[in-house]
Amino acid sequence: MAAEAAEYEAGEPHTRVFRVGALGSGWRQCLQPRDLSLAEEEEEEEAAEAVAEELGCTVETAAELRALCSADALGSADQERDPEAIPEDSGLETLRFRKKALQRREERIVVDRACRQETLTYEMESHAVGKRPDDAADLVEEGELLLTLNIFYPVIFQKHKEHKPYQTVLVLGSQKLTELRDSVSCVSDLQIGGEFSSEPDRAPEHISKDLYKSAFFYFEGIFYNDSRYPECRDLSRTIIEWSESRDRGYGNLQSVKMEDYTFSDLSLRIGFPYLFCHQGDCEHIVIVTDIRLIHHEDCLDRNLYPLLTKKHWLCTRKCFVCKMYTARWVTNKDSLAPEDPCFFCDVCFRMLHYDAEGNKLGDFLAYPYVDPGIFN
Amino acid sequence: MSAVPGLQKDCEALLGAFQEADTVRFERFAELWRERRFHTVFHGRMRALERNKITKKTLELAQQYFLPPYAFQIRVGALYLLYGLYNTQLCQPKIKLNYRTKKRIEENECKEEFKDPSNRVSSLITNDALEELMNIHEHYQKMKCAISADKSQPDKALSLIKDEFVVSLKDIALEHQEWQQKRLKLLLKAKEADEMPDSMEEGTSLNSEGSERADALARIKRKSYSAVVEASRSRRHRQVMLESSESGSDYGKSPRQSEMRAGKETVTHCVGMPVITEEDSSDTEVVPNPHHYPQTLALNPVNFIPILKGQILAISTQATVQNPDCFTPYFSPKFLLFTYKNSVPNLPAFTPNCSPESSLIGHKLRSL
Repeated sequence: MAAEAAEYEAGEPHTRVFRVGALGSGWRQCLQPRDLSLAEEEEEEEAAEAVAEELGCTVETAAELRALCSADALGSADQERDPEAIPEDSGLETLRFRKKALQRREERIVVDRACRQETLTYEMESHAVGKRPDDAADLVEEGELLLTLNIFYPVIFQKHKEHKPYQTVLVLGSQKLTELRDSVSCVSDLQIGGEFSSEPDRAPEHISKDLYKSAFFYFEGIFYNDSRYPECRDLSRTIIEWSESRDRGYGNLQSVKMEDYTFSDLSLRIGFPYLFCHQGDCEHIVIVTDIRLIHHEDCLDRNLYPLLTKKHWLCTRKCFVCKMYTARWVTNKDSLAPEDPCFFCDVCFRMLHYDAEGNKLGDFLAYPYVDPGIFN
Repeated sequence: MSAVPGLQKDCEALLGAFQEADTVRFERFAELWRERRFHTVFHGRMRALERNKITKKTLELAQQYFLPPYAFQIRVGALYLLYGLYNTQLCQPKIKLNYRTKKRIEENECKEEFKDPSNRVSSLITNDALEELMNIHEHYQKMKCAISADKSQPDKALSLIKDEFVVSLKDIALEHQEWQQKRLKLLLKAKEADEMPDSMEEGTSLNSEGSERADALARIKRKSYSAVVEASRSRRHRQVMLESSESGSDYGKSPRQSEMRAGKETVTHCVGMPVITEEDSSDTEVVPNPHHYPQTLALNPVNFIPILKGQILAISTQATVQNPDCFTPYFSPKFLLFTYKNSVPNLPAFTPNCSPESSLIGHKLRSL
């Protein structure tokens, strides 16, 4: 058990390998039922008794201890004081800096209110907090593990060299890997392949997501392949064959089915980059940043998980002509366009490239375009 | 994520005051907290999102002090600090503590005084290193015997290593540690007698991990337990009596934990010498260094290396009698290990004028 559980004091950027489920069962063994309970805060008498039991002392001593160590001892006498106001005579450096910053802001900023991005970020973080489902069957179990994953975008822009943008997802330990796979929204899933300059109306309905259903996760030497549909192929086979062809020092790489595993079954490291690959070559880095037990203040509705809590805001590319609507078409080698490639919204695209009868004007190649900012 | 300006200073001020108070009682911490009105660290006009971010960063900063390499007292202080910050935060719902916060904890951010003193000598001559040395030496001896005329022992020309050098190495390390402990005890005694105000700083600069930590723990425990809180008038009848046995479960676990952690690296572990010693410190005379080392210099473990060098020089000079080319003035134990490791599988051909041993060492030295 000790070998399976994680160390809490690792010095490197990531921990060593451990089984997620073992961590959960270890914690559950150590904690009392009332710690795991998802009910609201407990009663006073019960709490004192619980402390007495744990420390092996009398209830009176426990009550005394609780009084001494209570958080109230740390608050101020004037609890009603406005937390927005910074006390005048504070000795704290933090407050000194904060006061200066606030003064500077007041002097410079004309209007001080939240911008769209800030509102969106805050909403995403907090919209599901504390939610309980209507149906009791959908309630998250006590002692359930909650994992926080960062899934990075595959888009490689020049400006993303330093900090790669990512989205943060919360998953439950008992959820299957396939549930996460389905919830990942990537723009490459929505691509429509093909050149459609001659028949712009016949751009097919099928998006890549429907056509290419294969995907895999890679954690600690094991490839978890999606094999729920007959079209799914084992994308990891190429990699495994490559690593086995010579002694490349990767050890034994295995391939298993994604739908058979839950997050609790996995062995992984926290902070270590892993891989999610779909559409053949669209690769996302996945990092587990946090594992903890579910708390009564978390979202307790199973159906909302995997829960997206943070997303990077990507600016959408607008049509070159009207600069109002999001681009839906991209053209190459276009004699009518000023740059290559050039983006158009649907209306402007047709107006420019086709006449009233629908005949193609000029020479160009046109592809349907899905903007990465579509998920904003 | 950029830091909250001024927060590190405030936290370090609070933890520093707690360290000087030389106790692990929460009451004392709460007093210091209240003095500074630390709960106001979250105050100030800000929108919900910014408040979330700042609270998160505050908790993360406090959490850093909870992990090693900080000293035990600082870590206890950090625990109280986390408790305080978590409960006085203004965010609703509360921001939780992360399992892992920063990916890289910068070295230069740690305050030196808070760090637990480290024992570099013990970490150099660990049990594992000694074991490996012994194994390789045995292997080497066997090879020498195999190529010698008399199969039971190596030829005279080949046998240049003192067979028990591993044991003597261990003994030296042990002696040094003993000497350090005695020195520390002396200092502590002097502190208690003269009440030197800056002894804590001096204490942290001495190097003796396991037993020093244990001693410090025992000292703090004794002090905490002897300071009985006087109950208020209304509860005088419930005045807590000082118990002779140490039954506090808060600290009961930690000496054992530190023993386990310390025992892993100190050489004392393998000889079965107890890490926590309750020696009767009755020695008031100046403790002589077993190797006649000047006292002021001995504080620095780097000076221990010359002692080691002396021992190893004795080994290497025998080897170099025949071939002075390969004499080197410095021979670290790790280097020794390295040469043995590399020389054992491939014994080069004999040359008539120098011993295989020295040619081995010379060969390795020249190829490095």
